[in-house]
Amino acid sequence: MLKKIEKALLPNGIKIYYLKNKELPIVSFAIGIETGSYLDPKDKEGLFYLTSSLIDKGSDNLSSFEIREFFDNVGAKFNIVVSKNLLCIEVLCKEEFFEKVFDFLFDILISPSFKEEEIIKEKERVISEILQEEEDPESLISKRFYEVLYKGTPLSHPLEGYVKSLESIKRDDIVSFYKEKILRREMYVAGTGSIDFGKFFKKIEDKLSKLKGLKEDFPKFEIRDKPEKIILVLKRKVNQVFLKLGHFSLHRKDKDYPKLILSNYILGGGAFASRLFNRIRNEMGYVYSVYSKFFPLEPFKGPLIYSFQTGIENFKPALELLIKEIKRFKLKGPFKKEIEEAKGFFKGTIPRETETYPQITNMLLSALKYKLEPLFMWSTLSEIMKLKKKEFSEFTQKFYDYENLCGAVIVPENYNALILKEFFPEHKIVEKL
Amino acid sequence: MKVKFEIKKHVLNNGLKIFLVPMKREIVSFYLVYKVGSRNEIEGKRGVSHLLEHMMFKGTFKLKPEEFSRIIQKMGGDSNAFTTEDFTLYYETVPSDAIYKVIEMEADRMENIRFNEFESEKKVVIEERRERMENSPYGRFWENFSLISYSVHPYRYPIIGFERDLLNIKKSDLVRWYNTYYTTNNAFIVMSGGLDERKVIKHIEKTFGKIKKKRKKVFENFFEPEQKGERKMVLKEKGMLKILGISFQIVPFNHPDFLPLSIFSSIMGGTESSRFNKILVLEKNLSNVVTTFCEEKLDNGLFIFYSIINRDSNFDDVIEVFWKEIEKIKEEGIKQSELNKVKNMFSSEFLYRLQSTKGLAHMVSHFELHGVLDKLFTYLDEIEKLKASDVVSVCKKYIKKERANYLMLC
Repeated sequence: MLKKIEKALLPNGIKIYYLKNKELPIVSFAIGIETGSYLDPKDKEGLFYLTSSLIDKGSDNLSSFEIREFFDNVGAKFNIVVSKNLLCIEVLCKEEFFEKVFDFLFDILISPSFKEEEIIKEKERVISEILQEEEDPESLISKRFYEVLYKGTPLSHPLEGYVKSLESIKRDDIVSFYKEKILRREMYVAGTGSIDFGKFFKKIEDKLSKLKGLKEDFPKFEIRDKPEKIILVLKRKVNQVFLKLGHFSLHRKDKDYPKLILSNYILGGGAFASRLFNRIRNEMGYVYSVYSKFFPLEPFKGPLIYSFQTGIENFKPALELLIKEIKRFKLKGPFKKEIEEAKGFFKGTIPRETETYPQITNMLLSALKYKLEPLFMWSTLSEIMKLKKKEFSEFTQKFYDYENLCGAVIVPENYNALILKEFFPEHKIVEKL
Repeated sequence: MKVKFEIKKHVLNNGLKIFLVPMKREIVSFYLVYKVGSRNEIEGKRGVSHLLEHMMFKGTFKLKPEEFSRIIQKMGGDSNAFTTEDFTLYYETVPSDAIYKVIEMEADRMENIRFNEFESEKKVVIEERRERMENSPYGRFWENFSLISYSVHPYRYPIIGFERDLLNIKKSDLVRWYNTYYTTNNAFIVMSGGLDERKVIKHIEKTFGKIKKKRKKVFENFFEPEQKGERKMVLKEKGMLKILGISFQIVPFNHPDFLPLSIFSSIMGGTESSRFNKILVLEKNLSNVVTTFCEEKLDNGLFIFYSIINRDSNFDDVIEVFWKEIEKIKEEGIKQSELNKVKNMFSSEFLYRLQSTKGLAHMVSHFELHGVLDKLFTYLDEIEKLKASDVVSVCKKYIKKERANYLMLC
């Protein structure tokens, strides 16, 4: 069933991938736009996030409430999802409402009003969100981790920006960002549904062909080969230590990407089956959650992150064990048995990850985003299945770089963070409020 | 809208009920529900159900600690478990041909767990408690919100227990809990997906069928005196985060008033265009986030109003708006358009859930747990039949000032 992916290209460059699936009378689709917070001008960090969150807060003809009410009335799920490198508009609706929903969505997209009162309200909401997230160690540490890893680049700042930078954003900034950095960026559409492709395509063509001058235009900035050796320490009222360490990962199209998928599963990505989980949680009971994860951040290098939270009394032995395991993995690579078990896991992922309509839409959207074939999950799987133990030794040696980790740690207020020097003698340990 | 799926029921001699939901899929979701949760627990041993859930992954006479999950993953599946106030659920989603191994392993751990690595797992749960409840303002909010929403009912206590309880729980407590509640006649199985029904049932008979039924000694003596006055708690954290919660005890999920209460909560704060969203977020800008929902419980759950309010807003202003809107409903009723909107949303949501094996297994388990599985097929009709007056009437009955509990975190 999944083999019948329909493809199309509009004259303005918008690519479309679609799969017809008649099982239920529903349609899921997503519009991806090649933009992100990396396009925020300096001192106006948060502009992309603020602008995106205002898209559905009123258009020339509709109020914010009328927009929300429309989607609720037809029982549609509508989300605008933003990240450092993508804006994605996701919709799930009943088949009977598809055309109405798409027309409505397009009207919102081409004429958001960005009313001054909505901007003030939204800014206030985002500022509250920023201040409130400061009190949640899990959110706080993620933001600080990216600041350290991507230091000196437009990828370092949090999506939401900072209180000061938000305050400096004016309506004109928003209007021009929307026009130039959202509506004129490369776009693509992925969908799955019970309707025929002809009907789906016609609607998209009818509306999205009107958009002109779409371009892929990435700013040029350097990302270092290795992160700067910095560990940021934040002191808070907590009774655990929160840790996030990492370095850069690979581009999605890197030939070693399948090796990264498989090896990370074994090291720390495979939950109950991973080495970090078994050594640090199961055997020692030091933590509740511990993992390593990575994701692509095209067109830039994505991160590889190691993360855990632990009680103060266990922090030192847990960190010791984490570094020991990474080191061991780097030097010796995975065992043959681990590789075979991981392959078994990946064999089962495709039917689980392509079950629902939004899952299939997401797969097609990723293919468009990373410029892969629509059924890239199958080809990646087949590459994974071919991997042999001997192919990993060079890869793990090169990739898992425990000596060049950087990151952030949240510790209790009275904790002596200099303990980190024992583990990272060459690093700068920077204490920050 | 007609619901297009069927549920086939089988009951083993030992009382274990099995519900099969065939779907055209290459995978199967397996849900095993034990009817025990934190509501069954006693003072000083709170958290024992959740700790036992962790221990279920620590090996049997046949399997080493964590081998259960490793085998599932090796076969291309995923698995996990969670504990609620009312039940403990173990679930796996695997390729269809791997389901037989899942059945064998779940039957094995229903009667053969070894309680290995007890002390280290207790440490893991203490870390989980610190991470989720103690170091998160949201965790602290929800823990205290339950505490003020009930006076004596066990729903007032955290599912994970307090650290003092966890330190106090002994291996023998877990063994007792396991022997009492993890029995064929206190559990049921739901399987949905691509399955060979005859083969699956035969395999279940061969595995679970061998487990002897135990005498039920279930603690179910729950009591909550009628609330005669409002309760208020202020949790001062001196931060920027301000959360307001207002709760009212309502009825169990299987009570006839539950459905109109759910519709009522959707109209008030369950959608982006709900009344509270319109007034508090869009018009008055008092809140950043607002939602209302009804807890689906075996005993009286809660109707909950939850709002993250703006740093410059006052709790009193939000509370005033809350009561003003409630009074409006009581006096003026609800609009037919509001009712239609929510009905449409419920039917769409129902349809969306039919997409996945997990979504279906979840719905079937939920309705069976509450003893109303037959209602799953008439659910949409019942929603359709509801009138605006039914919704107003439950609002008048349950949402009263003397029954309100307030928690303000600031």
